[in-house]
Amino acid sequence: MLEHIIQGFVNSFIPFNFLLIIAGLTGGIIIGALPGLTATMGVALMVPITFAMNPISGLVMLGAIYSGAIYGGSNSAILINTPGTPSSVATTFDGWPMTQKGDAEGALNASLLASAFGGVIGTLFLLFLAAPMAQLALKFGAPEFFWLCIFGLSTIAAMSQGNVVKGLISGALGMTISTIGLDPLEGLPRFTFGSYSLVQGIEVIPAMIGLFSFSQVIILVGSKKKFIAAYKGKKGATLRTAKILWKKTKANLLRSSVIGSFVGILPGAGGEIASIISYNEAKRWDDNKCNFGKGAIEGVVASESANNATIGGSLIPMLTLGIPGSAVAAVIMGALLAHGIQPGFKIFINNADLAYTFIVSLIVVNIAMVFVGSVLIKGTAKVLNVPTSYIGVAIVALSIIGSYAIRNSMVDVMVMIFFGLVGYFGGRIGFDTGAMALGIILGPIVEDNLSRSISLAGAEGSVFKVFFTHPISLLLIILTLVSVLTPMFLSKYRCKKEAGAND
Amino acid sequence: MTKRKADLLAGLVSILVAIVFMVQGFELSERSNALPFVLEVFLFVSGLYLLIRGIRTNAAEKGEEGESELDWVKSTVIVLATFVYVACVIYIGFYVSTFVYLILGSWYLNERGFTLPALIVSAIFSIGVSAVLYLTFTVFLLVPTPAGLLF
Repeated sequence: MLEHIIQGFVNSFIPFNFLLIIAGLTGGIIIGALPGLTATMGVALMVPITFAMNPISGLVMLGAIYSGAIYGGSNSAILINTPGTPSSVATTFDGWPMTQKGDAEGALNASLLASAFGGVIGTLFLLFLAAPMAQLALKFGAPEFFWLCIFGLSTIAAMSQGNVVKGLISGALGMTISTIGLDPLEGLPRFTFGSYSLVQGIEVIPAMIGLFSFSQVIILVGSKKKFIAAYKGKKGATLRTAKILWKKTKANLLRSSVIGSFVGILPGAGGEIASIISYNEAKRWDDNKCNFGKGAIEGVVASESANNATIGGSLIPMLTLGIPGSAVAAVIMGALLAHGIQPGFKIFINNADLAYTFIVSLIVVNIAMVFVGSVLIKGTAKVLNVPTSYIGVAIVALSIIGSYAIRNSMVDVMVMIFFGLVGYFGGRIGFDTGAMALGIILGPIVEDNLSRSISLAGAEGSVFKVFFTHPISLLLIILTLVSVLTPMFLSKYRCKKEAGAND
Repeated sequence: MTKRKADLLAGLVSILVAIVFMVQGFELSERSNALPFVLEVFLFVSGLYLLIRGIRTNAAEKGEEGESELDWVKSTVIVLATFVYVACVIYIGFYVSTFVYLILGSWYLNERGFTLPALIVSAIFSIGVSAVLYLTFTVFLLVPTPAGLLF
């Protein structure tokens, strides 16, 4: 194995492959930063180009685009409160407040370093723990997935402290909206209000662009601010942020990366679930919980390290079992098959050079990402120096093309505008756009797995047995309860403490 | 907005959404309506709770979501302009509509007012952004953009 790993490093540093890494990363970061363009789209666009290369070079480039795109989503999340990819939703919770406080550079560098760290940890999981992790993934059935999503939804309770009811209503509204479209059980249109356009359901990305971006534009253009936030680039920002992360967020980085790697191996559960769960856990374990949501660097670190760690995780079932863990892994698997390479355990024997180079190149990609990313940050952060009178309308144009690009549908553009108004007016009466986005993202996964679990319960003759007796389900139920109850107890404890202090 | 008003409005919205989806759900089968029904009941009950809380709250109590100073006219004009922009995208095409929207939008929002220098800056900005969007989406990424009568 060691000789293959060394050979993998040698192959990654062949000038042509290294050039592809840099080009793939740059392209991936730009694609990820543009709302509406996803990592899947970026990788899929480049697959045909790999046919002209040898499979190793092609895979190395696709891995670089994948990593770059997942990280790139954080740039727009931090700078204009618009998650470039769904997995960056949790990054907006603290990244945007950091920008508003004038620390966009800190947030951007934290997201870059955390993404690279998470990416490396995920790749190490892929390299050394692929076989046991793949077996664990197979133990995840519909009930376990259902509880995993409920655990993800429990974040709402933690993130809407002080306004839990409105947070929960926001989440429920998001989930209700996500039920529009074809019913997953019977395949019949549901809640379409007579409109044929709604049969396909509400697409997540336009809804998110509206909730986060268009609603923000309404505030931005009406505000007295000349710029989104004060920004003046400082030298050595990346190094300074690295020191802060090393001092303050070691455990958070590691925990979030492990969560990301693990969630990544579960087919269907991607960076969005991993980042939400990691954000919740980071908040739960942090001594200064109150800072979360107000510009805590720890929140950005948790979300970004987790979503990049899912990359390595999602490739585990793809490479070992031939089951892709994410849409991008499915596209990469397609590229492998097109090159005549069959994924599965035998790939490590029959095509060891290719398999190990691909895996090892992801480590090189993540290290190179720090350098490529830190150069790009200097350019992207300059967006903050553009007056709001220009940036506001430019965001609208970008939101429209981003929403349209998902399905080439103007309906999605209208959905984006509708959710922009919902986000704006909802925000004024205390609804939480983050919780609503979680509901929209997790709603379909919850319903799909709930219905499959109920069918399973029908076959086994016991709902209780299916939902409450599996060890992984029990663990997730306990974690959910802890996640929901801890903020409540802490809040009561704090109230008592404050009351004691006042006496 | 006062806390009372925010609670009352949030409660009403929650109840309204629950009722609208409940009525739509009548024609669905029990299986198909299972999760939506649970959510509708939750929204209805939570909405009622907010309504009651709103009624009981002191009318003068300030909400957490303290209102920042906002120029309502500017925000409303841009939202309305966006509606027109989207309609134009459908009929005229993305790039031409974007070019016009960016010029007029940024000129209107500009601090210098409706002056010729401001219009020139807006025109340069609009050409630049439209060109970047064209190169990124149409030339490099080959992503289709809404096409209308014009470009």
